[in-house]
Amino acid sequence: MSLAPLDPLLHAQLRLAIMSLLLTVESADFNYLLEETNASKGNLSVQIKKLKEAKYVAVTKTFKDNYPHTEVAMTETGRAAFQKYIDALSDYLNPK
Amino acid sequence: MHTLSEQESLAVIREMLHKSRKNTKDSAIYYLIWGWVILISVIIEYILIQIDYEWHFAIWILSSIVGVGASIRAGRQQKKINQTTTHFDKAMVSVWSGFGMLMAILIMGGLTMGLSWGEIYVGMIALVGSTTFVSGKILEFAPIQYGGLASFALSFLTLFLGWHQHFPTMLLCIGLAMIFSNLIPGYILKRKIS
Repeated sequence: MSLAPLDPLLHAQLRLAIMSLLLTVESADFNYLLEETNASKGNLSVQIKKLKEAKYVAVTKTFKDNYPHTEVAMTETGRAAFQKYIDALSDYLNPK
Repeated sequence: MHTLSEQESLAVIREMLHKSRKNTKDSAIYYLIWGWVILISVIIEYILIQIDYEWHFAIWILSSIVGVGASIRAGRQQKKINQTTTHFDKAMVSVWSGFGMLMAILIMGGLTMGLSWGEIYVGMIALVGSTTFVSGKILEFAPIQYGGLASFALSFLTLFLGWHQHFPTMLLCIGLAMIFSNLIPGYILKRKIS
C-alpha cells in the first residue's frame, strides 16, 4: 500500500513547531513563538511568511505601546492541513 | 536542511503541545487568591456574628473588591509573561463566567423565593464543587477534580445533617469548601508548576 506523502510545508522542524503551538492557542505573539521554539528572529519570520503564503496562518501586525506587535493565528486551511499531516504521519508510524 | 523522520515529527508536536499545556496550568494563582479571600472572609464574618455585630455581611463587599482586584493584577502580570490565550484558558473563563451568573441567580432567586442564607450557602457549596470539578477536568488535574467532588459531597452532608438551618455553621462549611476546592489543589498545582 502506498503511503500519502507528508506535506513538505509542515514536514520541517520549525514550521511544524509553530503549527503545533498555534493548535492550542487562539493566537500567539511573535515573541511567544520565538521563546518556545528557540529559533532566531530571522528564521522564525521566514518560516511564518512561508506558512502565511500557504494560507496556513494569518498574521496581524499592530502597534502596542509604540512598538510593532505581530500576532499569528492558525487558519481553517492550516488546521485542515495539520489534521491531514497527522493522519499521514499516523499511517507512516502504524502502517496497515 | 535536515529532513525530519516521522518519529522526530511526532517528538516536535509532543514537545510543543506540552509547552502550551504548561502555560495553561499557571492558573493556580486564581484558586489561591479566591481560596484565601473567601476563607478569611468567612472567618471574619463568623467572629463578627459571635460578637453580635449587626453589619457582619459587610465583609463581603471588601472581600469582593480584594478578590477581583487581586485577580485582575494577577491576570495582567501573567499577560506580561505569557502573551497567548490558549483554548483551555478560554474554556476556563467560560466555565467561571457561567459560575458567576449561576451564583448571581442563586443569591437573587434564593432571596426572592424566601430561602435563608444557610440554604443558599448549600447551593453555593454545590456550585463551587461542580464548577471546580469541571475546571479540574479541563486542566486534566486530578487534585482539583477531587477537591470539587469533596465540596459537592460537603453540600449534601450539610443538608443531611441539617446544618443549613444554622447560618454560622454554614459559614464554616464555606471555608471548608475553599480548603478542599481551592487551597489544597491550588498549592499542589503551584508546586507542580514550579
